[in-house]
Amino acid sequence: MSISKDKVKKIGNLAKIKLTNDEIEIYSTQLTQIVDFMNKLDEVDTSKVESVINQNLDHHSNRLNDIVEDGNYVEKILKNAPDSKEGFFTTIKVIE
Amino acid sequence: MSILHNLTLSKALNLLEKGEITAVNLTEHYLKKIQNSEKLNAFCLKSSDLAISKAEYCDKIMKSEKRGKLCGIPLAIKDIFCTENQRTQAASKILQNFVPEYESTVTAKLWSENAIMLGKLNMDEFAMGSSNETSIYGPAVNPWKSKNSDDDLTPGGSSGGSAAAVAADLCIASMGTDTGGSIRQPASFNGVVGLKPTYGRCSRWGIIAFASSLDQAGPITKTVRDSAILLNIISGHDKKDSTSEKKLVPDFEAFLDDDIRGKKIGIPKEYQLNDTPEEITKLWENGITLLKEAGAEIINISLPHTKYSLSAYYVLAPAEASSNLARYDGVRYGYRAPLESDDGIDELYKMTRSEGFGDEVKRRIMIGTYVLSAGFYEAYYQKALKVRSLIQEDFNAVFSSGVDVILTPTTPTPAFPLNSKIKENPVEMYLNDIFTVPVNLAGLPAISIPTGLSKNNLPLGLQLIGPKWNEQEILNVAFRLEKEVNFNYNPISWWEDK
Repeated sequence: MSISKDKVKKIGNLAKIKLTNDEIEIYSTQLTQIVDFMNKLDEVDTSKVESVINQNLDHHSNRLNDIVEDGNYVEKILKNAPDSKEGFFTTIKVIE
Repeated sequence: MSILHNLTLSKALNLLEKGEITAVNLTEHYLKKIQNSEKLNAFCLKSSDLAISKAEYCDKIMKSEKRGKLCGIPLAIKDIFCTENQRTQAASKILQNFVPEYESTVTAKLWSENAIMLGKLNMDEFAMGSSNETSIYGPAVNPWKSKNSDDDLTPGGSSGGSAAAVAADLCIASMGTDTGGSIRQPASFNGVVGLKPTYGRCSRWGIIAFASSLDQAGPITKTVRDSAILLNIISGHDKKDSTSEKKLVPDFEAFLDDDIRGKKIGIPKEYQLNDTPEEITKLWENGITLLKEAGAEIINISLPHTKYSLSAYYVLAPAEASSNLARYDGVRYGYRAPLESDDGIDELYKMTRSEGFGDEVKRRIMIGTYVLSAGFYEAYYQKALKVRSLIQEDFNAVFSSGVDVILTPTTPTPAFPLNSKIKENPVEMYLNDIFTVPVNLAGLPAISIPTGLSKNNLPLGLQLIGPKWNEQEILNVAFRLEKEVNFNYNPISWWEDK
């Protein structure tokens, strides 16, 4: 199945990646190659197999109780922000 | 030749303990070598001052009970591990100038045993690549050269810098991560030992995420013993990573007795491909012969779903990556694209991600977004999950039939030249991971050790795969194989500025 340029644009939009016309062209070819490669999976009969998100987990009992154990790291958390003000991340104005 | 030349971890520990060398000697020796090895581009950050002050501290406590198990051992760390106050950017522009406020659990364990950090190591961007060429720093270079050519070769990927640094003796050992072969393939290409532990053996906390159900940290070392020593340190449950298991951690080093009599070694027929080069087949046959002579029993096995591994992997890994990398939005940390005055929040996200991510990362995010999107989720993502279960069942069936360890080649070829045509077609590059990917899908431990040279004098590795939570078994068989092979080659130094 081929991934058309329109499809590439749509995926770029979902993934929040701005693509140039050249990139759209290249990705259309490359994503088609990759999807063809994935289509090999159709050969496998999986009608009797359950799907499990992470088969590598033996169990899920290691989850922590939802209790706050630390905090007050505002300064540390903001240290790597491209821009911040008065203890908050700043972004550009959002008006819907 | 200097006593410091090409020291293994176990030998260095011994010399430090006996006082024949000091941590400062050893650290200065490596810092100088790193300084003179710019051509390899293995290091993307040198933490010289930190290393020297830690070495001075180590020398002070060397005789005390506080010394720890790695006192005075200089290590280097893949740029994917968050290191407190030391720049960490997973070789990506989008994490430009990111300086973590915290330390990954794996590296914290190393430092608490008083290992010394020499610096951070080059890698493929976000660990996505098999040749190191997706790095924002430019690729690390393999210290080995083909006998017929002066071309620079790939160190492999994604932990290419980690393997090159150990092969070129720029550190005692290094840490890497392995999502589809990213420790084992570079180890094989550089003639060193690379171990991918069982999924859940080591904490992933503080390791920049690529594909969370597959990622695992592991050591790259000069010997199998060194690998066992480091695995002892980095293993164990961490409450900050719910996928790290509460399993007893055996003493992996104590288990090394090189007696493999009666061990059942499985040889999977599916790993013999039609186009496998003769030198790889011969290497594998030689490994089989050596293990047989050491008293192991060789058993032909079948892993029938092997041929679907790469297709399943290249659905699942990008799917998880597209989700994990959604966090890079230009707001909380890392790079933010410059914007025009009338740009809105959508442009902020799109421009930042477009300028911040490299080609391969964008490609994988796009693929991941596609396979998770409405209408394709069932056909690709769900399907790949099911195939993954079948791959895991193949391994389970073999191990429950009594096979102890599986032996395969690590890679289908030796290291190839940088800038080769291969990167024009992403699928061709993905084929590099053909022997390593099934292990990650099944969550198993595996090790690559150097066992021979190609016809062009490049190192080649064999891989040993074990059942879950049984690293001691693969380490012990690898230990014996290492002894039988006696791989005693090192790259000839062409890269050092004298």
